[in-house]
Amino acid sequence: MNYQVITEHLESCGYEVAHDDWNGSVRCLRITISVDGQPYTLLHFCLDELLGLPQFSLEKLDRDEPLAHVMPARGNGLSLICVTTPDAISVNFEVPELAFEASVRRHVELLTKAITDPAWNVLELAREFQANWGFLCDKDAKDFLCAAPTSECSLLQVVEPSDESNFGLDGSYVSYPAESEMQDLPAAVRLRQEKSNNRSRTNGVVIPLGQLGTPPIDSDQINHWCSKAIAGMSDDASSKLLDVVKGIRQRTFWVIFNGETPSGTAWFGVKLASDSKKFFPAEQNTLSHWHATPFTVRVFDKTIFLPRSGAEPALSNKKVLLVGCGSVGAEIALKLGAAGIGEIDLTDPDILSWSNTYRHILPTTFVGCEKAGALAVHLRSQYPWVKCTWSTRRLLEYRDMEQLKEYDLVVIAVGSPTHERIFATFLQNSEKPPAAVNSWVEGFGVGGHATLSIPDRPGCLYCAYVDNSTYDKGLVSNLNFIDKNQVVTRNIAGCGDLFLPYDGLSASKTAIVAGSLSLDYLRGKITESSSMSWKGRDDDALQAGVNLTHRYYHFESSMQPKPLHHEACDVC
Amino acid sequence: MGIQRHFKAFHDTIKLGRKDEAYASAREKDDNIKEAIKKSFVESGYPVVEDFIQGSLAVHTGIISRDTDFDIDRAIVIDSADAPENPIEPKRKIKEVLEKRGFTNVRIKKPCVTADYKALDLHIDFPVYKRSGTDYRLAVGKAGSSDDNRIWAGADPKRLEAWINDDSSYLGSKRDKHDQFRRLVRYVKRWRDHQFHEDVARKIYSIGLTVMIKDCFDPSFDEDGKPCDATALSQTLSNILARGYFVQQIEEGRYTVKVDLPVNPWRDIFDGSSVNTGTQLFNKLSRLRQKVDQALAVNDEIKQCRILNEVFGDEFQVPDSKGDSNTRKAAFATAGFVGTSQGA
Repeated sequence: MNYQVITEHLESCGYEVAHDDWNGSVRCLRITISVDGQPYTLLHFCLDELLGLPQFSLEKLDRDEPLAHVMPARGNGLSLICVTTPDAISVNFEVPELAFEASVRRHVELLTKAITDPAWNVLELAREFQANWGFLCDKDAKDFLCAAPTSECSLLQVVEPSDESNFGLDGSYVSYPAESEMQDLPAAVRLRQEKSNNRSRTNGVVIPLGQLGTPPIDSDQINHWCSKAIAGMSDDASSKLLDVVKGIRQRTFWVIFNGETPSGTAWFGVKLASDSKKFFPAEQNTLSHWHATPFTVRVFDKTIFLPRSGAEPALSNKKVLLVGCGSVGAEIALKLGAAGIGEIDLTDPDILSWSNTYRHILPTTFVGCEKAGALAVHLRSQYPWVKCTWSTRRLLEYRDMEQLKEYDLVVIAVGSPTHERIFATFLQNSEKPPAAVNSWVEGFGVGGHATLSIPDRPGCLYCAYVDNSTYDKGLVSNLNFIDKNQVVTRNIAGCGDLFLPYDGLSASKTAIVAGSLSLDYLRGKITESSSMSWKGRDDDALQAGVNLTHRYYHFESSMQPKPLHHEACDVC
Repeated sequence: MGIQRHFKAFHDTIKLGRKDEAYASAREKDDNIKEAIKKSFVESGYPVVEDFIQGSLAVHTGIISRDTDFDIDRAIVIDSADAPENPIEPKRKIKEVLEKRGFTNVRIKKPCVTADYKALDLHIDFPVYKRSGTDYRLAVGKAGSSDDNRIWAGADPKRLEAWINDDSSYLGSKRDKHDQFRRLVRYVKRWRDHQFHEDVARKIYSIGLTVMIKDCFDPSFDEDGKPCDATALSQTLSNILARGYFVQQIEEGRYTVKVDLPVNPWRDIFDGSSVNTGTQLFNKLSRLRQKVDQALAVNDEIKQCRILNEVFGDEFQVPDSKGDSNTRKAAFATAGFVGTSQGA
């Protein structure tokens, strides 16, 4: 990078810029700025290539009070300044001098605000509490997962990471309530709990601190900060803490603090270690007998975890029956799980076989297992709070409202138009049936479809089967992109191995349309019976001599819900 | 798509297929007489080597006659090597068979033998062909025709049928589009019967209308594959009127009509038809298009049906109220099973 040009540009903007070597070894720029009448030096380490917003550190910051977004780096006299989230900006790497100018301006603005507006500074420090705490922690430390049911004062069991894995739950510290009556403990945590019962210790303590102020900015301050925080607890909280830790002696305590900040509840921790077993220092004004190590806490609370990781807590009370766990059904299950559906019951009589390998989401380690069972295991391991049962029953075995009445939605991905229409007739003739989503994929990558039938609303599966030409009840869907009565199946080893040629991507896209209809219905965003299709390319179909429908050539509403009702449907 | 329901009901009312129940007695009579003709031809030394239904029943564009009779075009084919030189000879044999079996108005017309069977309201035409390989020749000539007018003329009934049934030019849902074409032919044939005096209507040959519609057919379906027959009819009529079938005469507003057969012998179907026929056909087709466009332009289904009722007659019913529909709701599928592309 041409720092001469950058320097000239910054100087033309009125900044005082000097080229120098930091500690006599690393090339750097020093820019002298003035804030509130005081000189400060911004230091930038020279780069070969600009990959993000140019970063500056503050040199020789000498203040008693910490500054928001300014974090002293240990031992080198520099303080890192955070002016923005790197991912939130796009930098002009082609004209780097402009990027430098913008970055310096933003650094100056931030420092000016923090120095001249103490109230804002304190508020920002509190808002960024959890992030600032993270700066004090060892970046290489293993994750500490906390499955505390509430932020109230309580004891937790703590399991150390397994020797056999560095990843996931097994590779983390996991803490959960000492009294294991917790109903909503994630299945994966419960499994970890079961596997580690004789290795867990009751040495986790949740301590609510109420409103949080400024965090410590240096590891040396941790002991003092924690003693002060515990001593500053309200009488009630303090009394509860004494009660909780009464009689417990340990060499190590995992203290899990929580407190309120302007950006929500912050969770953070400190590990207290001692050479010998001691009572928890709840009444002492000092932790001098303990070695305190800060650590970050990942809260395994679904009200936090679900929205942060892309799911919706509001869907956690929904219960869905998914019939068909083939390549489309399995993908739908993932979509429902990823959205945060609380209970998903899976059913499919099929066994996972080698022929399913490339278009099914299940790994080959499950070959030979019932698809529904394997998928249930997979779902539970992927989505911690999902409750999943499975069976090998077929769609038509569910023609029983006693079984169906508990479901908010039945999702069908069996690829059998005959059984689907029979089942639709059963639902039509039942009292208070659940809503139903039917989904199917077509061959050769041309597309896939889903219908949503909502009871008491116009539009049903039969609407998607009215023959548009004759207005008769059709035997194939009028949504289809492949014309009826053609040989579309293929075989490699005789008619016992006939299959419809489509790939994993087609299954995924079909699952997306089925998932979209399902979830938007459960969210209350779709209130009318609807259909949704996706359209792919036609070249493979044409190469195979397969004729497509008019709808294929004129369809322009991929992934958009459309009314399902057909005026000629005799069922509606 | 409201008006489509009414077109569908209209179509269901006028449609006639060879397998229709109403046709059962006529079909039985046709089969009986065919066997008698075969026997007679064997005795005459030119056995029948092939017979087939041709005309509207063969291409599925038949309509129920307003006179409530049934029309059958039954082609009788003999081998070229056995065929008599005089093409009238086998036609006379057919005439004899028909007369012996209670048919009336038996006449040897130029292209065929025609007769009625009053008890069944059956009208039947027997064209006779001689065949050599795939080459067909039609026995042309009346009973009293001179030698010059009695010929085995080139014809290609099979290719004509194939040309009409060809759906290869349609993009997507080929059969649905071909079905729409056939519905349009039926609508226009019923329109002809309703709008023209009987004497003129007889000269507006169904095959002429069918060829024009096939040549100019512009299918209309919405994004979801639901047909709009009114739009297809309007577009197709526009194409027909602009295509050059109608030749303006010196006198303004007067036309002759010329529609060539799309297969051998490529002759003008309306050869010899009058300026009056051409003019009436042009004017009434123009009027038909205007009326269909007018119906498409209004939103009210009842108003639409009133306009179309004027055009097509009372078989295009006008509902009493908006919610009222004379269209039946979907009936059970007629196929036992249909191949699908649906998987999961």
